[in-house]
Amino acid sequence: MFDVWRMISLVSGLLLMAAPSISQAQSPQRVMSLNMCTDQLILNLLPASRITSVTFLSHSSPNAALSALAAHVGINYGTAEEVLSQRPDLIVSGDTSTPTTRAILGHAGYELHEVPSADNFEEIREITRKLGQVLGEEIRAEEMIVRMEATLKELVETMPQKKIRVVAWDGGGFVPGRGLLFNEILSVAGGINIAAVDGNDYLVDFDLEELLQARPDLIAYASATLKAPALRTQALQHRIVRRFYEHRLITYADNLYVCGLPQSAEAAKDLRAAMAMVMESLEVLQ
Amino acid sequence: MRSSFPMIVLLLALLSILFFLSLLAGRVWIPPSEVFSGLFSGGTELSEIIIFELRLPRAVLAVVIGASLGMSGAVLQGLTRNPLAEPFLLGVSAGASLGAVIAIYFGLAAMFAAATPFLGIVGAFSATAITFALGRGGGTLALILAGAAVSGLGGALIALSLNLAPNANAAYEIMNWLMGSLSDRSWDHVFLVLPFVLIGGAILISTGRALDALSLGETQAQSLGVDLLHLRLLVLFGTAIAVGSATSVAGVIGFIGLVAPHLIRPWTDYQPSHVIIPAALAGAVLLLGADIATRIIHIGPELKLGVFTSLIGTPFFFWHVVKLRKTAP
Amino acid sequence: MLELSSVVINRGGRNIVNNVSLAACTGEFIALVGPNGAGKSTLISVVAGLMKPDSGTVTLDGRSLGEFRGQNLARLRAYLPQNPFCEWPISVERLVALGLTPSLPAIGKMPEAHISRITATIEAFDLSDHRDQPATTLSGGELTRAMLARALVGDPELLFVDEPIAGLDPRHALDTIKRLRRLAETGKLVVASLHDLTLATRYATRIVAMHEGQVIADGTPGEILTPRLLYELFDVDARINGEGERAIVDFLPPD
Repeated sequence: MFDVWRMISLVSGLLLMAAPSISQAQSPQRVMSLNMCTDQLILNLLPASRITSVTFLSHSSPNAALSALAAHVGINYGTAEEVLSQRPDLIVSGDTSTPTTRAILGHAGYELHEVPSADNFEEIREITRKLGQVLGEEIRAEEMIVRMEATLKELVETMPQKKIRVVAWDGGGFVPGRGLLFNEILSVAGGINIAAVDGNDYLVDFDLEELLQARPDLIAYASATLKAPALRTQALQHRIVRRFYEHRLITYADNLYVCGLPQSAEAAKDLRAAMAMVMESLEVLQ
Repeated sequence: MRSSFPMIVLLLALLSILFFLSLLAGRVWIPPSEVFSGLFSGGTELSEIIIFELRLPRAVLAVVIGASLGMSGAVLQGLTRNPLAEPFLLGVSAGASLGAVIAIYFGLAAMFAAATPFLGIVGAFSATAITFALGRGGGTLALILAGAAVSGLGGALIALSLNLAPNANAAYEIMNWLMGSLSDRSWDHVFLVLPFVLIGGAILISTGRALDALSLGETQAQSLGVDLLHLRLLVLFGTAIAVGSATSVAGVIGFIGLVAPHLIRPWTDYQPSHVIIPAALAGAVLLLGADIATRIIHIGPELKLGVFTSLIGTPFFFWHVVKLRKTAP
Repeated sequence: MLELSSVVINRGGRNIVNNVSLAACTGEFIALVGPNGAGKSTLISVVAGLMKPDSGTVTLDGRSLGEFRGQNLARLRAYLPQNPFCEWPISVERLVALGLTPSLPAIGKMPEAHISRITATIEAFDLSDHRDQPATTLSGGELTRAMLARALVGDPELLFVDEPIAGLDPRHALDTIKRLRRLAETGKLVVASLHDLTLATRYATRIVAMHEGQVIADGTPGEILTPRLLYELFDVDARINGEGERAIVDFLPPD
């Protein structure tokens, strides 16, 4: 009898050991991402060998780290032809696909995993975990979340006394208000989004008069704004901005604010450092 | 000119009232007494800054741009003897926008500020020249169709430019800009546009005499010593310079050039040269009024100036087309 | 003294005026007659300096018309096309004033002298009652008079008119032709293309007949106007009765 139990436990043990390799064989090997945010997620969760392609936006991103990672994998422009020719066993995209696309992909036998946009760190946790599960990389996903939590904890513990008043203004007429990731990151970094008042949800239109009246300490603008000429670059040349905010401008890597990623916590850390630097230099000027 | 004197006085009075109202309109409420102190700058008070650096240049821009549109509408109607001629419908605005888009998105505007009005003028010139060439001798229909064709071409080329532009946000940004707006402008914009509008305006005013002779048709005008080619070139240059630079700063604003001359013409003696200056004043009044309206009407996001003028101007345009159909053979 | 020498005009691959030579001086009232498409309008445009001949010359007192500056030529000669119209409802006074465009100073108001000239011309053409009326509301006869007034307010030496009495009733047609004759008598050169042969016979000092781009007859009405010439021009039998101011030209239907 003792031998039978031993036999059973031995066999179960063997089976359990085999299980990971079985589940590894079941986890997707050819993953295609059709969305810039999911690009970044899978590039961080999977080795290049398991990614067929990510979008052209990541390949040509102004963010050097991202484009360097993307360089190791294929490229796609989100077209059906590419899906057909690349034959992924899993497609990852945002949640804005049309029902038609979903239906077609379903009928054609493609697996589609949609990642909803994450507007706060709780949601980032969820989507990362979920994606980790789907990709068979729960461990790695968990590692990323742990790092994120650690950074967040550090930031909360070293939160400065004085909150810095900020607005993300680029002259395009719309600024992020409540309910967006920018707000979340800014709060964690120790800032207050002056546009995030009641009634100002998501993107709010904001003009210079309101800016002047609100008197933020700093104006933040996306670093991508600098890279290619645009109307926004002109807006930063406005007399008022130059006169009152010339030394009060900070940039931020907007890909981490548009997409909810575990690295967004790092972005909060960088933002805090940038804000501190500018505020210090202002004191020196005075 | 005798009959138009009271009208000019009325227009100037209206302009002054609207100008003051324009200084009061905005998201931040500033009481009238503070408006006055803000007019004479130097202040660091919030209200003074807003008045002097934001609202005053905005009002000046509305007057300057409105005048240039009204004037060029009057001259174009005089030249083509066509009541539907105006810069927007003849494709001038489309050409100017194309020039401005290229300046902004291909880095030229960043290199020197005057690139935008310059390219706006070049674009306006090309578009107007093509419309004139295509629409020759075909009457109202041919001219409007030529203008529509050129606008279509301009739009397509703008789309292409945005496609090729290095900046991925271009398409979204420019949609807003194309709808026309004077918000968040500054004295820099005024100084950029003013010299061009003055030059263009002077050229347009100089065509008055020849346009009067043109009331009798091309052959009689020619027999009176009018050089038709010279006249067309003057109108072309004047319109391109005035409207091209205005569009490059404010985006596409249509129908002011159509409506302003029509509104004041019954109060003049109908002679083309006597319509030009009143039309400029009427254009200024209309655009200033429209700009104030966009700040007062709250329907959610900011109402764009060009959208507003289109909403008011299009019914006017339709009414005119219906009227023409009744009288045409 | 206006001279045309071997003028040729081609348009759209077709020949319109073929080797026309002509001389005219002040004091003449020349009626240009001929069938539709004979080239009369084109010839008048050339003679008025509005069209350049493809070959041949047009000279005024020895100088080629092409050499004149637009404004100087405009002061010397006036031209009215067929069916002249006014685009805008400007007053008759303003319409007549347009005739002074070549003499206006570059900037500034109209000089006093011009204003009295305009008034005198308006009176001479019996338009005083219509002085402030919009030109677009005038009747046919009134508009013709207004256009003539605008052509003559600048006191040009030469007047070229293409079909001045088209669409006018008999009274106004007669009135207009008589005016043209009087103008010639005061020392101007008047050239008008006409379809009314009776009026041409009665009042013109000279008739120039054009057929298929060529001048086939040129002389006083008495000299050259014959039924034969009329048949050659219009392919219709004609009969001429009376002479001078009593002459009548009848066209007869084919049998």
